[in-house]
Amino acid sequence: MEPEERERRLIETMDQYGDDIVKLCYTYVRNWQTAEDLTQDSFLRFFRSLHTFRGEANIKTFLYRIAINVCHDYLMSWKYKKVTITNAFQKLLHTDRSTEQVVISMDDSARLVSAIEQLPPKYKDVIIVFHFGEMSLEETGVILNLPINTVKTRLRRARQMLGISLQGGEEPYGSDS
Amino acid sequence: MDPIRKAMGEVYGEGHFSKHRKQEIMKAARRIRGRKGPFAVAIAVTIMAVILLFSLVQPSQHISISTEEAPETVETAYMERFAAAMVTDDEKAIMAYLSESDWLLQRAIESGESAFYRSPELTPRERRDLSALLYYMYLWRIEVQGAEPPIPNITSFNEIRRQSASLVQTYEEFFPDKPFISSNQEQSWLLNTYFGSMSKHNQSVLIWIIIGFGALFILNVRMKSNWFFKAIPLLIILMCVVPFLMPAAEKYAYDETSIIAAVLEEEELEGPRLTDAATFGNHRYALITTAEGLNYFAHFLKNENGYVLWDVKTGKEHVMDALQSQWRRQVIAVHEGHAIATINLVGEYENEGTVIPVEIEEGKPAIRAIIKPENFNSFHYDYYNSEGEKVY
Repeated sequence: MEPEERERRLIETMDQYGDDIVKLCYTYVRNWQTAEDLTQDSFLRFFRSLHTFRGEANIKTFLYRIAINVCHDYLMSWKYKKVTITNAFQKLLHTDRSTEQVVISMDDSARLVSAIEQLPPKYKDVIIVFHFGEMSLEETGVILNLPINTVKTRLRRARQMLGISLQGGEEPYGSDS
Repeated sequence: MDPIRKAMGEVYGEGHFSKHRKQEIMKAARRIRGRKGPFAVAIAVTIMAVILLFSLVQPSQHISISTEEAPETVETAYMERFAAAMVTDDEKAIMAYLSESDWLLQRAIESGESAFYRSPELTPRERRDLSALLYYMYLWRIEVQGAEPPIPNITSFNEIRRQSASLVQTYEEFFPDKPFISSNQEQSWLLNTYFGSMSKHNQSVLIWIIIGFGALFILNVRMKSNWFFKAIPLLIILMCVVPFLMPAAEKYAYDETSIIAAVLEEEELEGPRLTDAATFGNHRYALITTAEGLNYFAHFLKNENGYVLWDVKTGKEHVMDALQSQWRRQVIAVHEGHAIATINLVGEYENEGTVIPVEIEEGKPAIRAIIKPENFNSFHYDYYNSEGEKVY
């Protein structure tokens, strides 16, 4: 792929999926600044690996795979662990409202998103890719490097963890789970 | 729309990828484009390192020697040796022939530069063939002492020169396992670095370590791994490169100049001058006289790379010797200015009564190899001048 073509594709991809990737990253790190940093990192990795992209897969699939890997790398890093410990201390020192009060004050959407954010990464991955990314089971399996049956099992368990609020939304994908 | 996507869209309303970030990515992407990639850098660095190493491992410049003052011509010396190699029925003449080495004459023919022999105009092929012929004639005589040589007796140097290629071919068929190695080949195989002096096994191990860690380094760069992991293979590669840059611990003697250089590594010599040199099988000998009149007798042993200095005897004596036990050879060297015409190896104890005479030219330096009878281990030397008087 020519350098100009790579640049053009990068711009197009950023315009089309930039916002989605920021949101995807946010569900993992719950900090907008960090989410933007990770998005930036994801697009740079995407640009670097564009020469390996042969067009066999969807460019969105390719980008999601990179972004999820970037988020996982960040969650494994010392930087993230340091931030998490600091935040935990700060929360202990400045608690104005109880968690129960915070949850009660949320509407249904906020409660659902908050529940997604609390999911363990392996369940969060399938929910984000399948639902937020609106990918098929096969594409989810490719992105997460998982067999379809594992994707189905994880989706079912993740939905169970998310509780009643998701029951209605499950219908369009009922045949998959 | 998917309910989760819808919910995330509502809740994460503020989450947008800013224009500023996009511009930063574009800047970074252009920098990446201009960088050509670490792989290309690694290849360029490797090529440069290889060029550097090759330039460093080239043998040192050969010092040209004036042939103008050489006392003898190649033609005369060659014909004397050729005639001696043809003798089959005179045991004494055969032993006299075998006691002398052709190495200096071979060197003079091959290089055209010698302080010992004046060389005629010869083509490179002729130089190689004439030198190879000397080697095979000697080999024939030492392997099958009394047998007729497989080549005709030729009495003119020009005729030998003309037929040299076919004569060599005839001999080569008899000794396929002992091919002739010219001193130029001997020199070209040598590397004047520590790496060059290592055994072939250690050389290949080192090369494989470099290749392995080089691949690991490139892999680490491509995978954008931690700098610490990138640095480890690089450090190991740099350590492995050291033997390529270090000078060889051993100095090899492949020509007249390198003989002096090798001895100079061991001894401090004032104005050294090579007066004679000889090669007998895996042993090479050199006689050196200094400006102060000190004499040195250097003995080189052949290893898998070349002839390396084994020991140096020194003093004002005119006669020095070295034993080649595996060949039953006794090598005697006499320095310039000696007054000896005959050296007798006189048997003692069980060898009493056996005398092996060696004829030499008075005053001229010489290195002679005497093939002793079996079990001729106890003996002493007696030296006589041309008048038959015992000297020393």
